[in-house]
Amino acid sequence: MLIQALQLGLYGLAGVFGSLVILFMALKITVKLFPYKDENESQGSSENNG
Amino acid sequence: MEALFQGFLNLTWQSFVMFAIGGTLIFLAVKKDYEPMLLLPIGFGAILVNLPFSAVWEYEEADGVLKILYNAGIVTELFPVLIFVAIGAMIDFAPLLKNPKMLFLGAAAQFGIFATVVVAVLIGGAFPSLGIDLKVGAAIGILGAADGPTSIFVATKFAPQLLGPISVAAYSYMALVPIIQPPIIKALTSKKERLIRMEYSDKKISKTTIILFPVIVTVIAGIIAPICAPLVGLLMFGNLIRVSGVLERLSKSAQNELANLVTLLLGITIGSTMRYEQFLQPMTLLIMSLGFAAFVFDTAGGVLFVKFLNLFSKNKINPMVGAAGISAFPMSARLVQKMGVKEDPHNFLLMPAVSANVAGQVASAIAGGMVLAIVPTLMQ
Repeated sequence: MLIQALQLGLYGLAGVFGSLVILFMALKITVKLFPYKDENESQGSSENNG
Repeated sequence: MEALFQGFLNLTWQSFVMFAIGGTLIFLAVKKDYEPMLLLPIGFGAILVNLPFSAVWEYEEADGVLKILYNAGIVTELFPVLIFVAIGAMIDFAPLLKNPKMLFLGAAAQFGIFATVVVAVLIGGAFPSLGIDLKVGAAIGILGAADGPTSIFVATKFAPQLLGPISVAAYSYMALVPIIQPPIIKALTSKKERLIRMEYSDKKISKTTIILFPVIVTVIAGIIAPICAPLVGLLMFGNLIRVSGVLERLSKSAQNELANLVTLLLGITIGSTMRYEQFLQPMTLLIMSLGFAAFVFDTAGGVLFVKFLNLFSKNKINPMVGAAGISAFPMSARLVQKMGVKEDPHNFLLMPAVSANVAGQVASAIAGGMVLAIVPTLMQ
């Protein structure tokens, strides 16, 4: 069972980091594809997004 | 005549211990302001369910009101995921979008989940009578997510009999973040490291990106670990309502009415799982201890990960910010800011710490999904 717990740790952390690496890349691409340009657009602050 | 004294005759010393525990939780909520929204209803629920005959749970073979709520909201996992809609509607992910590399700090601070599972399984191996298998170990380890709904969600699936102590541990330690984290942070960092200043660039993010973020997170997390879709999906649904800008009424309802109503029902229902037969067990003490260990491992994981990154990076990150990668929002970010200002009154770490903290929210939901997906596979 210890081996299974260590496997869970290894796969789990790899899974979390892997997901976030993909998310990071997706965010980078999204920010590049949709740059901030319109000065009327919101910055996403709580005031603007309620 | 005897019927009049039935209540007295059925009181046990264990009931009084549970009244004291419930009273302590209410005291902590009222006097110390420790997560009052949850600890107060949990404490009162614990008192209610330990009254003679537990009429709120079951009476004369009919389900009591709290058992009905338990079956409707906890067994079905409805309450934790509804809370996620509310949390999503409350969180502003813009600081994370301005500094997306902070996502990795959120991932590193999930280390506590997996380290705690290993420790739990080791203890289970040493004391087989505790009955800790990988599922129970995972249900305890998920306390390292530092996230109440995720802990409840995973515990409901893997160890429903331990839901009471796991929930109490999750919310108690989240409230105790300002006490648990500082000694760990100080032990693992030098004064010089704590003085590292981080530049804050107020990079503008387009509204399109802000709206796409919850959709992207849902799709990526849902493809990698489909089982985490209820957690991540509803967290992000709440956020989409908030950022869309066209559903202000729904956003406010999610942040207020939904959050308040579900929190109220969730708290008292969790309290009702604290019947003395189940709660007054050595396992409860073990869960409380391992929960504490999970928060320590999380903090250490976040801080050490930043120190590791700093070995290769030109723009150093203050290692204290790594500790904010846990999901306890906003306590952890606030603590890091406070500690930063204490070291250097002109060092403002709030924005990077908030970025890491909201990254922790995303990462903990994904980590919960990972645990739910991997454990059954390993046990086959």
